[in-house]
Amino acid sequence: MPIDRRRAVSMVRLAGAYARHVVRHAASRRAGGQDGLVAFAELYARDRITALTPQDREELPAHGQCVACGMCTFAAPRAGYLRADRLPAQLTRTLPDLWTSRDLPYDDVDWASGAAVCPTGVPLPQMRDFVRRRLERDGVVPTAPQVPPAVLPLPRPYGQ
Amino acid sequence: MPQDARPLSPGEFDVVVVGAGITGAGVARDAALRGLRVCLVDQHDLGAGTTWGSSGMIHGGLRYIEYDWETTRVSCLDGGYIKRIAPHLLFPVVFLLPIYPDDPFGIEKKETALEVYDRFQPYKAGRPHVRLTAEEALRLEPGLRPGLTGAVSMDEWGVDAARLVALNAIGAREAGAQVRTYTEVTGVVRDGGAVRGVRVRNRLSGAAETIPARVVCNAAGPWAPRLAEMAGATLKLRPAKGVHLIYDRRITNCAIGAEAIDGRDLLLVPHANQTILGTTDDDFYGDPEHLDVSEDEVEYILQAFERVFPSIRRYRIAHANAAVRPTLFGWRHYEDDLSREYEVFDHGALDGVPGLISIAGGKMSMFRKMAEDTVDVLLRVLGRPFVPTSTHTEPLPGGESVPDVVEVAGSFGLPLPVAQRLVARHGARAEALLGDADPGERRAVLCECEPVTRAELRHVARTESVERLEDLYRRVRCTGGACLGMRCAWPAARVLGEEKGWSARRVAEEVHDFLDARWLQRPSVVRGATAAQEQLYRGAMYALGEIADPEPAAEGEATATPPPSQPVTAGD
Repeated sequence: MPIDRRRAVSMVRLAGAYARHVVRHAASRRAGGQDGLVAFAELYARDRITALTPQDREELPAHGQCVACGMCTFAAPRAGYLRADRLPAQLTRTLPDLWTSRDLPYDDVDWASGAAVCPTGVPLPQMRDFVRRRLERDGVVPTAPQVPPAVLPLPRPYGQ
Repeated sequence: MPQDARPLSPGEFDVVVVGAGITGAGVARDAALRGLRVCLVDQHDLGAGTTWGSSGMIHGGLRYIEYDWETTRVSCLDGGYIKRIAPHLLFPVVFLLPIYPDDPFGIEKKETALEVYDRFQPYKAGRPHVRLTAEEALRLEPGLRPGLTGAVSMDEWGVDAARLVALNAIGAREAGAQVRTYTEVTGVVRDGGAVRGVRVRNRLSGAAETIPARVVCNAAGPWAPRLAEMAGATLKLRPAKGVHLIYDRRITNCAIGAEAIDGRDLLLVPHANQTILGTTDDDFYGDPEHLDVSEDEVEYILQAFERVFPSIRRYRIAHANAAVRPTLFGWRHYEDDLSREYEVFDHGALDGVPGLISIAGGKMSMFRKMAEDTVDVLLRVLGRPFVPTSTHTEPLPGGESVPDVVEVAGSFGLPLPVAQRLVARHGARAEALLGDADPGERRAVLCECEPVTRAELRHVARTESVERLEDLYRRVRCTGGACLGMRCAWPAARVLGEEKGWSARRVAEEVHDFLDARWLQRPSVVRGATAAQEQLYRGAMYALGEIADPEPAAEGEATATPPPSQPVTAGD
């Protein structure tokens, strides 16, 4: 099969990039290299995309067992906006947005009573502890979103 | 953006765009902004076809590094434009690509590709890759299978695809276009050999009419060959079915790449407040109107992720979706090797059918550029002087700025979780929405999982061309959370009914149809707690007698008794 010219050019350029990479990486290894987790945190901590602990990972599957039956709300009275069923069904759905629940009165809801009546075994007290741990790490208010540079060239119009 | 109902006069439109997915909506907006008189029609809701089944990514085209660096450059550039015009709608998706000893490329080659990609990332405000040791990768994501040689990270943008379509349609409308959903094309108007409009039928009211236009732009995705055939033209695609599994929450912080049994690359993407796994890519020969997800397809995806993320089966799948990609035709290629490029077809030159232009192929990430190229051709066919596009700088509705969530919450007394989601969906228009709302409904949370307030629901029902209950999922994700509509379908249907003047029976029928449609998304994934939820769901809806068996009844006849309206206030 004849190889496409653009692909051939790309492969040649990639080969050059690979050669440069091998040399650079060897030099970097001799110099000790950079801690990957530190570099990752520098890039993404502001988006609250951070590491999960083994404990987080072990507990997370149970959070998704909520079938939104609402039984827990009868057993555990709400505290302001914080209602037992909102913990699994709303507030913990996305960890990067967990900061929005940082001021809620987590101590004022009887999570154990809510969990006791849960038909699918959602561990509400454990989830509360999970939220506390994560808020210590990710509870900061986000910075303004990044946008690309204001002036970018426009690709050439079709047929011009 | 209420549904257009005003009568059409002959020759009113320069172009009628058929298909309101991301491509058609993008074309309609671009054409309207360039001064053309546009009508956008779709047989379903906005973005209900291929776009609805997309992975929801605006990516820069890392895979094109191997084929054509210029394509990567243009893709990244366009990703940057989309981020600029809709900054509220896009969110970062950080990929963690684990490398195992049996990886066909190995970590050095993969990192080389990412070093090249880093050169293009600034175009879209992307960040450079990071190389991680095996220990670092496992500390970042302890769910990865041990034994990896290392990992690399990179990022792309995620987007609510259906909302992106809605904003394009709203933008088109604000630029003068008419937008008609649930409007099916039943025929093509011919003048001699030339196409001069379409005959349509409203699928909800049954009303038929003719939409005259100087050019018909066929952006109907997998349905495009059918429309071309109606006009006597030929459009050959190689449609491919893609399946995604949807989880009701983020199960990871990072997107994870996996290799399927046939060597295809699959992705687990933490996407807004869901997780999306997929996708399959199989030749499709059926009717794109009727798609289902087989247990084999579910197993194919889970099997792939089990190799890199062994606990994947412990997480509960909420539902699955399927869509058909309108891939350009190619013979002698595996589905995954087919080009994702797009092409604009002038059927006047190709088939001797002037007045018909088709746009096919491509990816959602390229929608803005696809629309620009299509409108360039439309201008030429219409004999109009060239006007440059402005879609790379003109913000989409709400994209003018991103309000501070804490300030919005404080100004209107909203809980932060409610304000955060509202701003993510409406951007700069969130405050106006709240300002116009009934103060009693601003804090009344109707959809608990998302969360969506009554005020927001009423706003979109009035202004965003919502015709059916299921449309609310695409506009604001109402019914899309853990409850899958169990708690919010009824009250949402009632709000919609109040806005539309529906009878009690019509409200009940909407909920009934919604339940049926939801069920069709789930048979292949119902197991464990999800099976229990299904029982609960059906029991709650039917056993309470709130949905009568929908016997034919006269409009306005109240044969079902909807539950009392009980807004749940956001808090004290």
